[in-house]
Amino acid sequence: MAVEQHIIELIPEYVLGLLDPVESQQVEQHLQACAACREEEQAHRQVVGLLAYSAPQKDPSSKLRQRILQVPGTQAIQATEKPIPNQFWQKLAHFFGSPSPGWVALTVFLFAAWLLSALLLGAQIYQLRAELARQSPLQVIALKGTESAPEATGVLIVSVDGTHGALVVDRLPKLDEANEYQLWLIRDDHRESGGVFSVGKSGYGVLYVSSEEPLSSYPSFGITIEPAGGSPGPTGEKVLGGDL
Amino acid sequence: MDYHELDDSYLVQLITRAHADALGELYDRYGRLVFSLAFNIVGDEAVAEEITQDVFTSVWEKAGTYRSDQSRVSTWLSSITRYRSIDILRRRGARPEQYSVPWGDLHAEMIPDQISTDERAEELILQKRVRAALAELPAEQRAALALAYFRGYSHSEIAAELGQPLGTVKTRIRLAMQKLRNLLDEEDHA
Repeated sequence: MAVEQHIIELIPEYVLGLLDPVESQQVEQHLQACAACREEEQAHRQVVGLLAYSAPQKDPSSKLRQRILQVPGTQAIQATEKPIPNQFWQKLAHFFGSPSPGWVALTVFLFAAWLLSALLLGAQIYQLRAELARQSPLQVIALKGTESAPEATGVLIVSVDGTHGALVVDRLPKLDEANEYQLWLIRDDHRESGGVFSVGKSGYGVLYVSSEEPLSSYPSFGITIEPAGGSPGPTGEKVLGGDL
Repeated sequence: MDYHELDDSYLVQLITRAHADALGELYDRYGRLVFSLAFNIVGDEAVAEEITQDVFTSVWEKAGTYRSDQSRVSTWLSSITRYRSIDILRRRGARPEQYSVPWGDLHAEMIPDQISTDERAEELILQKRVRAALAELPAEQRAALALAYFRGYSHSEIAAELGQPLGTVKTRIRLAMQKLRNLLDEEDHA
């Protein structure tokens, strides 16, 4: 107890960086083993973080933002998000700049061959999906992120009789306490609530879904952001959607 | 994607996935805070801009080290900024003769009571909260804490600067931090 008290007394100086290396090491060792002191440490770090707001605020030069976003690392990553197709199309445009008749014929032949193989592949995939649907007792509906949450993904798994399901989502932005996500079961112009849920900081969440009518009778599903507790009908931004 | 609508932690997650626009949004939110803190520590605009650039470059490269369960993004950023700034101050051996801490006249700071939908509203509210909490500290506790926070002085340097015994300085800093923790924590739960 005496040791813990001693450590708690040291925490303010520890988070301010005032302790010598030996004392700092003692505190670090203690923090690894003591959840109460870790909580105290985080609270004091929060105070030190807030002290940044106490200094008179001053605007940096308007060019600083541009300089930061132009450092080699960020520029390179920005460049990798779009340039590959650009370079490809630029090369393609250059290639077709002065085509010879032989190249045109070869290109048409290759395009026709590619189209035929794509159609055959599509038909095979369709047959496989139909076969899988016949064999699987559960229906799995994939949900895709909208423009509001392009990283988001999800699946709705519907039971054999279609009356129950489980919604699993990932990479959805964590909402503040005033809002929750709401699942909508969609048929024509009708929107039935499938329940509300939240996600953790990782963006992962699960919702048990049940409905008076079989879930498999709804052709589409959507998820929107609604005030906490949910809404009678969708009012907020759609973040995920998918069709049966 | 509307980055403006995303919370801070999610922006940092996107930065780990190399979304440069997320870094731009984070800068728009906290660039001024980082620059102001650096400037108040090193006292030089050009150096403060270098530090700000360094901090956001570091965020870009090491966003994966951020632990959202341990601190807010603003706390993380201000912590990196403070350590970088104090490190530069120490390496340069800078000890400004005309010492001035930013908490000299907390009541004279003009912070509006009525804050509209200004994009700086949250920043102004936090400024007001923190400066109000600091104003409740006895002046001698505030002075010792300011030297530790903005100058990175050790206990003995603070004792020498203020002409007070070492033990007194330690007690003042502990009491100041404890009181701030209680005041700011109370407001968090209010």
